[in-house]
Amino acid sequence: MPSPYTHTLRITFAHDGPKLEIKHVQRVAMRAPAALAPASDNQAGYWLEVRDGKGALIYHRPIHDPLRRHVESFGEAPGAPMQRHPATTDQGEFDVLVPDLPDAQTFRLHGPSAAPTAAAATTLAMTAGALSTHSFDELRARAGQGG
Amino acid sequence: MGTADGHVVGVHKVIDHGADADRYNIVILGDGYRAAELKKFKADVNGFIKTFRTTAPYDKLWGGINVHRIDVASTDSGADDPGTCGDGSSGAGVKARTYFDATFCGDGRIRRLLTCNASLARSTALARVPATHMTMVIVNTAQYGGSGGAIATFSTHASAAEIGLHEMGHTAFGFADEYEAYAGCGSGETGHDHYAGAEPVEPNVTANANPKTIKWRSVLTRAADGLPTTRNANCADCDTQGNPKPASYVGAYDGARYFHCGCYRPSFNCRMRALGNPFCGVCQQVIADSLQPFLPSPGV
Repeated sequence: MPSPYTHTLRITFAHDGPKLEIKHVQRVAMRAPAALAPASDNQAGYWLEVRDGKGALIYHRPIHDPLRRHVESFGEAPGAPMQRHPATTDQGEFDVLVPDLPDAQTFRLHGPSAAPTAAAATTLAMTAGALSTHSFDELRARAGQGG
Repeated sequence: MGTADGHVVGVHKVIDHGADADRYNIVILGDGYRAAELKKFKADVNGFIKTFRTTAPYDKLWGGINVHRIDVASTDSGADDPGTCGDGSSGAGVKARTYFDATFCGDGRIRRLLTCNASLARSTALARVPATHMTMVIVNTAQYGGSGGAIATFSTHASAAEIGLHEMGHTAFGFADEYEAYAGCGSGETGHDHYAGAEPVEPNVTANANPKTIKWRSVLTRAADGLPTTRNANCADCDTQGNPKPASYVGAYDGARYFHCGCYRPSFNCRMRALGNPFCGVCQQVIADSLQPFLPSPGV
């Protein structure tokens, strides 16, 4: 099946404590990974979604702990059990890829709205909400202006 | 430490299955390789590619993947290895002047946490390969170590490629960890006994063990088998029972995503639960589904 789009938006976020903002946007001739349908209306974790002008979901993908709240360790030697540790910094950057679909109207990044200091178990179980919402017109304009 | 301690030599498209605009692009950078060691970097990348392309399901998706190698020469060889670390371990006390500033004990607490300047690695990759999907950094040290996040970082230790594969599972496909403890089994951790939250968004874990509605119902080994496949009898800690089913069985095993009970993983083991295992059937299906847009059309 031919791809319905030719370009993808690479949206780079910067986070510093509770502050999360878009640092820049690039429009790149590339494909994005296929959408994965949500399993539930109420979800925990982080994901991206794109909706059309009627509010219909047209792209959804899970992403893993983009704010790096938890650091993974692998043990002293191969085969040792893996563990998680609370991160020692709450600053960083990450980028996400969303297809620039012809009908795309709204982009949202969803995730738990817990304070950076919240216990891991609390954050992991929390129903996610929108952490960042932007119109595609705005994102395309930012990309056209060099990010 | 940083860009003053080296320079980018060049980029090579070492696996070329088509235009970057049409394929999934993995970019591999090196850190801690002196100019005279870039042949070794080439060999290390080729070694990782050999591992990657024989790892299911990438072996069946190989035609949709490009791999780009970016040669970066550093002033010194290896990585920083601080003499002390928060976990009480001792290192060589070595400082290496490298382009991406790779270091063990990257967060000051965990010796095997091998990190580098991820922001610089990402920007270096994107400047040469704008259509980058996944960035990896191989660090020229034989000591075991690695880390994840926006990029995957791992050493040249024979087993460290497993860290790269696991971290790519997080970064590229949004997989959850399938292990059932946050701080480790037997750690006495609290708050992780029973998962009682919303359905996890990650495709390889679930709070729903109903065989008719579980998110991976199309991949269940035997839909008629009851779920969950196992239950943890002691939710205060990890389940100690063995696997009652064959290794590749897909059902719903109690314990996942850092919770001892109430959150389920598809198989007893998976690369997202313990390194050195294959991806479980659900992870393999999600990888295949995700990379479908990058596969050449039949007959091409």
